[in-house]
Amino acid sequence: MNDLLISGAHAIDPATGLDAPRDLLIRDGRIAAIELPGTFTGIESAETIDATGLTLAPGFIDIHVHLREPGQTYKETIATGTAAAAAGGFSTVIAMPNTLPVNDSVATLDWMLSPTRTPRVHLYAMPAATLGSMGQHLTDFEALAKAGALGFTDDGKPILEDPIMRAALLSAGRLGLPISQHAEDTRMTGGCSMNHGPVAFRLGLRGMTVEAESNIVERDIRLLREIAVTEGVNAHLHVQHVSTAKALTAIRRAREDGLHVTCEAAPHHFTLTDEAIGEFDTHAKMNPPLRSESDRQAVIAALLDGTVDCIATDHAPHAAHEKEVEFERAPNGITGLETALGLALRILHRDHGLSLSRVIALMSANPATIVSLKDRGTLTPGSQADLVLFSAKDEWSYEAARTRSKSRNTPFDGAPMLGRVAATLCAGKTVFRAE
Amino acid sequence: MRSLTIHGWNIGFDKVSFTNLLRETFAYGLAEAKHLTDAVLDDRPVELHIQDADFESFALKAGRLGARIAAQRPTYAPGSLLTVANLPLSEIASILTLTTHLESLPPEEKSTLLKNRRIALLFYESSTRTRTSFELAAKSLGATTTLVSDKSSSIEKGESLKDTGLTLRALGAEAIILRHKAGGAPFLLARMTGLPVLNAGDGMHQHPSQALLDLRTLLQRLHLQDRPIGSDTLAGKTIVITGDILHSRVAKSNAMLLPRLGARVILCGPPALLPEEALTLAPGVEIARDFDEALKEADAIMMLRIQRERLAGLEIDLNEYIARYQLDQHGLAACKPSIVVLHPGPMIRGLEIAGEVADSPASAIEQQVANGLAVRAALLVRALSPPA
Repeated sequence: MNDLLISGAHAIDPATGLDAPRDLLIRDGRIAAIELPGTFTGIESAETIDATGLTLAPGFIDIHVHLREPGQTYKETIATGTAAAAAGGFSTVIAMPNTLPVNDSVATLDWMLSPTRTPRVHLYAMPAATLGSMGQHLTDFEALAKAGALGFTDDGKPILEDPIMRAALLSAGRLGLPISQHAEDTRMTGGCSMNHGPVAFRLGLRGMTVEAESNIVERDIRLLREIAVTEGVNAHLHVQHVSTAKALTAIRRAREDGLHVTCEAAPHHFTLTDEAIGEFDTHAKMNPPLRSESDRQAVIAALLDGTVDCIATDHAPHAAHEKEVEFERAPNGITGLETALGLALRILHRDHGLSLSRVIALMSANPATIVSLKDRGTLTPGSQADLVLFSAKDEWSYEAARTRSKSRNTPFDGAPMLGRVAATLCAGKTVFRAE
Repeated sequence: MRSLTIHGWNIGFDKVSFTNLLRETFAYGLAEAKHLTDAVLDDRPVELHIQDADFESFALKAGRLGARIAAQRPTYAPGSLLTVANLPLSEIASILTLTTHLESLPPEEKSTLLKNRRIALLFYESSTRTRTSFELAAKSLGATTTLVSDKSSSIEKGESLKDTGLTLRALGAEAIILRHKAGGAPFLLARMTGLPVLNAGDGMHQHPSQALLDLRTLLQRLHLQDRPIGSDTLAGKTIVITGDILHSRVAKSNAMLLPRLGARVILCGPPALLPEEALTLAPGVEIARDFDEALKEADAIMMLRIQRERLAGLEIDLNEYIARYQLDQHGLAACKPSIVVLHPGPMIRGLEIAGEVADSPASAIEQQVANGLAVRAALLVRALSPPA
């Protein structure tokens, strides 16, 4: 028998509204039962995890990570990136396609998803929407979908041409898959390395305006509306890492109109502002950039009111030598898998009163819905035994030096965290356990 | 008191020197200091409480010895001048006093002050005044200088700023003067090398030595040089800075510095070159779009060139610009009789400034250049003097 019993935990399952002490029994990698404490006493041969004092939740799902493999394994590999994911409580991650080569073919997708890459947690991918992510010719959506694609994206390189984006939304919509868009009008952001505003002025850096983000979101929503009217297809637009009030307003309005628009927010966008750049700290450089305090507050408000569907880290590892350069020359991105829970609980739960259950929903049930992962993100019997155990009240400081990732490019080295992962389980197997 | 946490060590950690540093800084006994060093070797966090005055120097030394200082704001070698932001008024006063002192020294005495000291000039962008004045200032103090330019060095082959800085340090450079196209590059160089770095202009960010020499020129021309440096040294004086503020590091350094000495600073220019964000440079900074009106208020005017190389597609109608913002004789005549005209150079006669104005008695442009030499000599002595 390979039964595993988790006892003594406080279970939270946003999908069912469960928020109470429960014991959970795992059998053959699936959740066999979840019952009142003590129900399973006497079950023989069950290995037990004593989870007294811990919160038990569905394993987290990050629909936006960069694992750098193939091609840039000096930054990260699938093995190291997914080890960081496990340490952060994630049991499922979705790899972005900006690898070398770009993941735009079934061959590359198969290679990436092969068990020989030794992922620590469940690995899925969103392949490129266009060949080479060049924005010109759509990839073979049908074949990629059959090979396991959960959506399509040219992440980092927005699809600018209206006819291409329209075709992408329509084709993916017919397959029931999202187009996940990095919303940035790159025609407006040449030479820019941070947010437009007083801080950029003071630092003498060229800034990206909020319109560079909102214009693309508004354009994509317009295309979605057109497709609904002319083709009768309710296509699915997913807006990545929304960082501005203006884009959120457009998303809110589109949803009121019944369009299928979802979006994600990154922990750094609800935690930091462009002031974090300080004295040209390249660990505070990412795209979309850290914004003003009013935009940060707008992201938090949208997380609280449900406009933002999920938290995604945009985990983007870079080697130290790549970040130890002039600010304008440094690559965009920070690591994020190990700091997501600690920041979400600190900022959203403690500072803004979002319930633990809602925070967990943002990191499990909701992302599962966006990418239609059916038996994930819930503690319902029969589901995958993808679980996270964490102490919700543990205050600690993140130490980049201890990361499981290959890279340490984080602005959160030494930053206070609330809530610490004790263990992560993937299909009933413990893939991370705190020392 | 400030606190600093050491989290483990880097390769090359010098445990003996680190133990000695703990003993010197905190007056610990040997056993106590060793105990803390062991904790560092063990990767256990060690929190230290340090007098403010000792903080920077300790953090720098500990870092150099290989201690890993966690979540610490970066530290820079004392004597660095990276920005005018947070430069204490007392520091400004001592730099200006030192400038005057150095000027009064006979050349032969002056030339012993930095005898055989090595200073590197690292220039990633062209320069006439700044480079020459730093170089001549260094030589007048007896220092050995070397010039490395991006166009005739391994920088062309792709060597990074970090490695270029480490190479200069390995060659014995004790301070680096850096001009760079990228804002913030001097901060990076100072962090990577641990050497005193003098910012000789970084992109559109800062030009702190220019602001200091402008301040000295203003004090001289406004007959305020005998006033002590304080928050009211320039009280009652209005400085109008006109032109391409957006792309100007000189404007930013001056607009941040002068209000702290009590000056009223009015920035003047068209919205494309002077966005509203400029109001946040310092409390009290004003924006004027009407040059003629601003001129009436001015005790001094600083004219700036339009930085064609940084316009990045921005289109400026030069005829219209000249009509509205050029300082010509007509404009000069409308000013107070005691008006002082400054220009950091390079100036484009006939564009932002009429040739006659540049050559007029109101012009302090050559005095600025002379002060550049004097102030930069003081900055070099400051950079290479052991911390007090």
